[in-house]
Amino acid sequence: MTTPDPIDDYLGDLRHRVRLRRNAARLVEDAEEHLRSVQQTHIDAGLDPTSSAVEAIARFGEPRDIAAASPRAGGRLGLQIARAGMPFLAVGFVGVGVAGLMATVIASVAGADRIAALAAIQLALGFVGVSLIEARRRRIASGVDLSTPGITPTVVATTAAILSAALSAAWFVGATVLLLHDQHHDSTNAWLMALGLAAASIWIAIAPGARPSVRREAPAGG
Amino acid sequence: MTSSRDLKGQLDVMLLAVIASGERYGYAIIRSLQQRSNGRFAMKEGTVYPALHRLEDAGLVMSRLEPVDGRQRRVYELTGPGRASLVEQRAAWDDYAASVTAVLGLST
Repeated sequence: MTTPDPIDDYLGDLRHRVRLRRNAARLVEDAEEHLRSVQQTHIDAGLDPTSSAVEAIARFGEPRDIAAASPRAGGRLGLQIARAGMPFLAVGFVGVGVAGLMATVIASVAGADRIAALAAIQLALGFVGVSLIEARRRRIASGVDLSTPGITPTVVATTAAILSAALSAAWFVGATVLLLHDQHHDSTNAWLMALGLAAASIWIAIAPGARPSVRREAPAGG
Repeated sequence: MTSSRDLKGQLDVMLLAVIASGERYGYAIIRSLQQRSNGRFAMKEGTVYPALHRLEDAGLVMSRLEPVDGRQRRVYELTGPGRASLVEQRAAWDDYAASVTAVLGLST
């Protein structure tokens, strides 16, 4: 049975309070490392784990005070969002290139009646691309936290990733179908693909919010 | 206890001075600050981290992660500009303190 961990609860509150502050992700990381260190110091001195955590939190200060001491993200928020979206854009464009190559090969070998198979491949590419980017984004912690209070970041991130994948895949399929049926090969389709990727990139950058919070088992004896 | 708000203006240079004596992680920096001030500057510990981030953004300190007991601990050290800034701010503080001391001495 999982015992509520005061430090996890505190970090959740802090994450929400500093979500629009500069270095939001760093603040939460530093807070966790600090609190766990102080908690361990108290445990080593003979205090029980829960009391140690409560004492560490009391010394650390109220989340609202820490937020007040931190400058607002300001213009950096836009930069952080752009940075978070860049890897997705990069992989997305690689996906477009691979899909285009496949389309050329399939169309030349089997004719244009294999659009359904091509769409399935593109759908898979979209999901793989989004999954890779989301996994990497969670690791590097972009510093952008726009999570919705009351909804766990994991749920928000997962939902956003699925929606992003669906959006991206829809654009891939739609744009490629247009490409295969367009005898003139004008630049409209390329713009549609780029627009779709940009929309998906922005969506996945701002919607998932913070890294998922992992609830820990409280040390035994508390 | 003196709050970090009361120390506004002096906290940054004191952090630089503590870090100048050797690279340290956040909790060690805070403990050193408290010990050097004989407990006078025992502000809420969490409010020191925004100041450390501010110094890092300004290029006065840099940090790196080190694995300790299965966790990642961020260690801070002074940069070249940070050392220069510390020297400059120490001199400015000495001038200021000497002036205040002189005025207070005259008033008694």
